[in-house]
Amino acid sequence: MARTFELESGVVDALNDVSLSAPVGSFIALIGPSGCGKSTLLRLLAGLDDPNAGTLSIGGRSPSELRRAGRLGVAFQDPALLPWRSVTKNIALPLQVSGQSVRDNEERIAALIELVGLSQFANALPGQLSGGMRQRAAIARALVTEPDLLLLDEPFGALDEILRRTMNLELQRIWSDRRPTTVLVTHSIEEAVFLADRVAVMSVRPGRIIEIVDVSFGRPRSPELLRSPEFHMLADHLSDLLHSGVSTR
Amino acid sequence: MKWTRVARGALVVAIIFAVWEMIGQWELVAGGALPPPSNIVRQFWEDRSDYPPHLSVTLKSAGLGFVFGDVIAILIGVISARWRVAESLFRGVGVSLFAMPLIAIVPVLLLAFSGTIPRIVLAAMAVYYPTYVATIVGMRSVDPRLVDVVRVAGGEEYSVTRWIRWRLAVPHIVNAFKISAPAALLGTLLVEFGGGSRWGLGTYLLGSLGQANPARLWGIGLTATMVAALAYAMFAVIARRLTRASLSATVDTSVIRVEPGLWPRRIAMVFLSAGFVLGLWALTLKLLGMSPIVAKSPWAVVEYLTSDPRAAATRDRLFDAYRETLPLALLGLVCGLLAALILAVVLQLKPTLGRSVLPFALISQTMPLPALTPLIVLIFGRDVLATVVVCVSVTFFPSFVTISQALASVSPAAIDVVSVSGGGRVRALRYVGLPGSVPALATAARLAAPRALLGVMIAEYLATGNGLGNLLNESRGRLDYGMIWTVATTSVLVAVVITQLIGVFERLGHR
Repeated sequence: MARTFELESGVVDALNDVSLSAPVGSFIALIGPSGCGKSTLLRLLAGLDDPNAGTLSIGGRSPSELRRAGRLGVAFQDPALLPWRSVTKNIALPLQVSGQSVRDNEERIAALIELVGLSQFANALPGQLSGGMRQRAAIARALVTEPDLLLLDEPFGALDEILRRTMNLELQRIWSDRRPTTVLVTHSIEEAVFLADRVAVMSVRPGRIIEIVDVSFGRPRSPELLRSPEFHMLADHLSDLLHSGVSTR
Repeated sequence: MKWTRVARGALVVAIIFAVWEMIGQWELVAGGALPPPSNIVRQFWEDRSDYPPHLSVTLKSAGLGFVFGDVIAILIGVISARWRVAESLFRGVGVSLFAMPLIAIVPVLLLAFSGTIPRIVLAAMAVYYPTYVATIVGMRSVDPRLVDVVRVAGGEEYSVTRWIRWRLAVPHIVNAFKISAPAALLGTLLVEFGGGSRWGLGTYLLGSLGQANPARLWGIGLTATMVAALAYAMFAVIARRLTRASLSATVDTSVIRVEPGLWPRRIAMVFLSAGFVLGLWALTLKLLGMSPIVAKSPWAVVEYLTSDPRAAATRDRLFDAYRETLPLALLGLVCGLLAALILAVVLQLKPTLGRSVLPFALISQTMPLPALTPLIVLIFGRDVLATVVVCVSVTFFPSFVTISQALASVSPAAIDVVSVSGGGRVRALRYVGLPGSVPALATAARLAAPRALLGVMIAEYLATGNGLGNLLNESRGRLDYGMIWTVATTSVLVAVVITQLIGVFERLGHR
């Protein structure tokens, strides 16, 4: 599968000959240097963009079919909450957009708010929340339609390192609750190894996947894992791959 | 901190009134043409029973015009924000209404409609542009991530508009009401100057002009100003509630930008949108079922100027009028811009003084100044000086606000560079502030140019008996319908060309 962009300066191969498959209910992480096409790949998966060559198939359906059916969930680095809506109403937005009744799903929304630990802030406006709380609300919003595919684009990229680790634990807990097939784009090797079943390492110009590494640690994964030698060996291996990807351009 | 600012503001107001009272009591200006505030208040009290009928007619017309104009502007704005083609098509309407000297079409409106309808229509026309622009800017001010969120949830453009865009546009639109509500009042007052009806604040003002009672004139003028200020304040409060931060009170002019695409396409779109304006004009006449003797279609105006037996004489009269009007408008514009630039620079060097003056300048920007021309005529007489003063007074405030904002928004880092090199505030202004505000000067000129033309035409229409304003007035008296339509058409055309030319310079400056 490939995606090129025509700019004034010429044609850019954003993605070239990318091939990746994921079992239902698995957690895939995409890591790579800036400009390697991670986000482009995610936009293609979200049906927000189309490939120039090749196909994407999610359970036999194209991303745009899945998107129109409201079977996708997405969270970005920026929580992108509507500032005039409370947490509850922000989480309800995808339901409203896909034409589902909010009233029928009130219990599910409340359960999601509980799951992301915002019960006391259900009626708070985004402006009254901390950065981490907003991000949790955005993740709850991504899950509200019970998506077949959850897409996370650097969801904790704007948070500090300590909060990021906490949020990774939270994300693992939330994800384990329903196990949607998940694709996480990240800069952080640690985050990728800690959360994913499978890590795809990408390189730049043209954007391509240079290696797919399986992560076989059992779940639930605890913070102690971060200090284990196995974890570090895997992280070092990924780090070497990333650097080779940068140097070969 | 807040209270010291309020106190400083109160002090400035108190000083202004004290000086005014003294000037008035000693009849220092034009033999008592500027009466002291105490006399104005006394006269206002004596006239108190005259005001309600006049005021209610004016407020009703302005209010209806405001509502109709805004509804139309918002609808067209929503369509334009959604479809590029619609935006291109309606560009000509926006540009024309922005540049149009409102007074020029007063006689046309009085021909086409009766009763208070001309007032409502002109108020609606005065309102259209600021609201239209705010709608487009607001609808487009969407974070692309939010659009992605809605699209990933299965929504298309309709859902983005329904759940996000319109809500983002509301604060922008209410903020534009700060400008468009006073503009509606101005439109109504200008039609009232055109006469025809017994009631209305403008009628009252014009009717009192010959009575040698300056205090009454000032009372009426200040009442109009108060109404505009109240309308401004009301929408300012609502806008602040909606945004929890104040947006600036200037018309956002960035939207009417160059048509995207290649030259042939751009030129085609310009012709298309100009043709659309002419089509609207012809269609309106047809729908109103007006007699072709009174109502001239675009082609009738062209015929009047070219193939009519008296066309040559007509053209001479028209060119003579422009030769009188345009230099004065230019002079007034340059003087207004210079005065604004100088004051903005002085206040930049004395920031404490600036902080007390800027709020007044912001509010005064929305005063129905062109409608206060009779007061200026009272003080400065009926000659060229009065015309230039009117022109300066209507161009000064918007220019001042635009230039001040540009001077204030110079990057602090750039000023630090000057400071580190040993330069003080004067040098910072010379090397960083002033060069940086050249594009703002062009923007100010583009905003002020239509007002300059309007100011000169009003002064000519009401007082000096020269130029275009007078030609308009004369033609009404002579029932020279061809000339009435010709002046209206050509003055809009000239104003559009002038503002577009300034716009070209402006874009060069921004590069």
